Amino acid sequence: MSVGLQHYLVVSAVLFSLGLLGVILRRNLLVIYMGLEMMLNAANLALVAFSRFTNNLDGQVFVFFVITVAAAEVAVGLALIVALYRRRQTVHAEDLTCMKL
Amino acid sequence: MNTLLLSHELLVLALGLLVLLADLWLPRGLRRHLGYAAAAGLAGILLFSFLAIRVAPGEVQYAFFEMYALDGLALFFKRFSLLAALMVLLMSVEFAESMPTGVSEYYALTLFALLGMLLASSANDFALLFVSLELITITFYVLASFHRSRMTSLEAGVKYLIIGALSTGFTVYGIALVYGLTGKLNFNELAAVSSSLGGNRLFLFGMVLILAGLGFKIAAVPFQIWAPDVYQGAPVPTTAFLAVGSKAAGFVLLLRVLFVAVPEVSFQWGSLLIVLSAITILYGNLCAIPQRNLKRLLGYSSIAHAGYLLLGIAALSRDGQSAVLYYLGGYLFTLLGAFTVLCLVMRQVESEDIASLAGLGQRSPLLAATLTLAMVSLAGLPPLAGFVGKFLLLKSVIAQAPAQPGYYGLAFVAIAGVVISLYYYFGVIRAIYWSRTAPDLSPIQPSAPIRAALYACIAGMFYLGLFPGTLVNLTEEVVKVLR
Amino acid sequence: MTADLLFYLFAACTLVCGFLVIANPFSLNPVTSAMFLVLTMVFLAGLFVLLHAFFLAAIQVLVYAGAVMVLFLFVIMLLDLKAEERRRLKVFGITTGLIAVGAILFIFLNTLAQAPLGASTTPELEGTTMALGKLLFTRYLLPFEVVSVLLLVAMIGAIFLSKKELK
Repeated sequence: MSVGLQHYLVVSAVLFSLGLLGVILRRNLLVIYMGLEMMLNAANLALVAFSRFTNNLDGQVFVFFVITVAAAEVAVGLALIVALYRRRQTVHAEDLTCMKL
Repeated sequence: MNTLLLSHELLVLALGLLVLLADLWLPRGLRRHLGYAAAAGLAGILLFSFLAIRVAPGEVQYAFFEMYALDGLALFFKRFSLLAALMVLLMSVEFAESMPTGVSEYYALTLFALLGMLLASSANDFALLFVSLELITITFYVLASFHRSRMTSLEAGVKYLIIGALSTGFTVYGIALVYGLTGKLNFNELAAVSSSLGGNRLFLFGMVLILAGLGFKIAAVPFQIWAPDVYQGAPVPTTAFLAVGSKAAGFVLLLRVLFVAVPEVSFQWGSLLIVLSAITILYGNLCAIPQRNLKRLLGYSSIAHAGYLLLGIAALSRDGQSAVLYYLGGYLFTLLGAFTVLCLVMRQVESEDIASLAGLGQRSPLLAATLTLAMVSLAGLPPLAGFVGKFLLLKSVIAQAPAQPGYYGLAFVAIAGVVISLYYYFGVIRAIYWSRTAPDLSPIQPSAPIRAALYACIAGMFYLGLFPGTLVNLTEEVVKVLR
Repeated sequence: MTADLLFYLFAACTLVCGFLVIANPFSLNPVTSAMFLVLTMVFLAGLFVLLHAFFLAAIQVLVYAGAVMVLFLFVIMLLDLKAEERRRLKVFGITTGLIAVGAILFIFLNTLAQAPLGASTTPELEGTTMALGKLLFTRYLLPFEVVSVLLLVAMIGAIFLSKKELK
């Protein structure tokens, strides 16, 4: 069976789930953030595949925006994580406990 | 193309850049007052908006290949966000005292977040929706962690970052699916084809993912977990802007996606929205009961209010949509009044506990009165704005009930929520006037602009509570562009 | 035929590397995660090429694998995170996480199998720089300009947050 849209979507869905799994399972903020990047990448793959198989370039332009926004988000996010580390010497999600009921 | 269509955005962008540049040349002592200049600029833009921008009822003006829509709804939310940002800027001038550096950046970022809200209210295309939503969210990552010498503020920023990025992932994947099945990103083009896709489960899956991303913005269950921590940890003006501006942007996008892009699909989703709304109301109100930290209390109460606002969307009718707008209008004055008071009180005492309000009645009658009125209005008692808002929302829900009995249950839950909320809102009022121990009785003297803002909030709460006619007419006019 | 083989190769490598990012049985060190994420991105760029999205493939390598991941590695090494490895994952968390994500994936794939995809039989779209550029500067000009403001905000935010001394 020749490779079609469905194949790409399955890859994209599995990659998305892997990213989500990373966000849920890992406790290191940096790795959680990597999982989030993987989710965005999975969405990009789906967009590019749809764009190719429906002969419509809009999806690829949207991917362009997603990549740019993700880069901006990473810059701010990593700066924030560095600031947190300086203050608290940790990048573990479980150590973020100064606000509880 | 008519450039006047984007005049709000262009002016706010220019103002933001000016504030950034002015910081270079102003001596350090004067930078704090840049906030007043920025607020004055926003007042000017607001005035310009009322004088120069007109949109005929039901008319929609498009720009950029129908990507940007200027209609009554957009204009309503633009003026709403401008007003909110204006008061937030006045508040930040008070807050700036406690900041060692970066005051001008705080003002500039507030203006850029406002720019995102202005664009979001006109977004008629998923590309613009995504980009403006991200502009708001990324700016708020920075604004929430602005007090970077405080651990709570950094923690708030990181939590908002992780949950925000997660919701971005969901939104983008949802947009990918919707785009893939229709080949469209524009809401108008989507509306033309979406009616045939109501039975396509992949399409519905995509819509659910997009709604998840918007649910995060408005802090609706099950995407509410960030709200209490971020509200508590972030600086007070940020919290206020998050609670009013960001939430309103979420609602305008929700209205546009549901009732412009995919109306036929939304009308199948009555029961889902009923359940979400009911759970959100109950969760927010029940969790608020044991809270002692004021900002956290308002965080939970804001979840509950997201639930009330969802009532209007769940009603799936024009009345419901216009009630959402009315409620947001009242919410603006109420919440900004409350947060301004918190900002002033917490500057004096470092604690955010409800107990720190003790003796406020003697320290400053104006602050005490504003906070009391705000709590009464949030609880939804007459004769204030919150009452009329809740009344209109409930009316719209009950009007739909004969067709679908679930709406009776929803109305019951909403009323139960109001009763529960009386308990904790009156806990705050009790702390203001009837505390046994009042350690500090030094008077608080608000500055003249803050006093004016507080009077405006009180006037707004009373006006919308006593004379609802004008705004009701306006909101009913405005929602005619929706399905 | 070669294209099909390459698809299976790239897809398998993408998913294996993606798995190793989040659950590497040999190391929980964030540096290994980051390196595997770089590989994931590169193989994804390969998939983009197979989909004739040449411009995006280049951007994917330049921006994601190049800039973003280098930033990640810089931060990891800057923070010197050796002490973090000692904590182990909890069994309860793993099971619930796996079940939840597995359920979502199952529902999604199930939907995908049934959904009628509106795909044309002969894909002839070429994602060249010129085609994308034309669209970007006509139809999508407004979001493009908004993104520039977004990058300004990110720049201000990143500098403010990571500045060492508060003057």
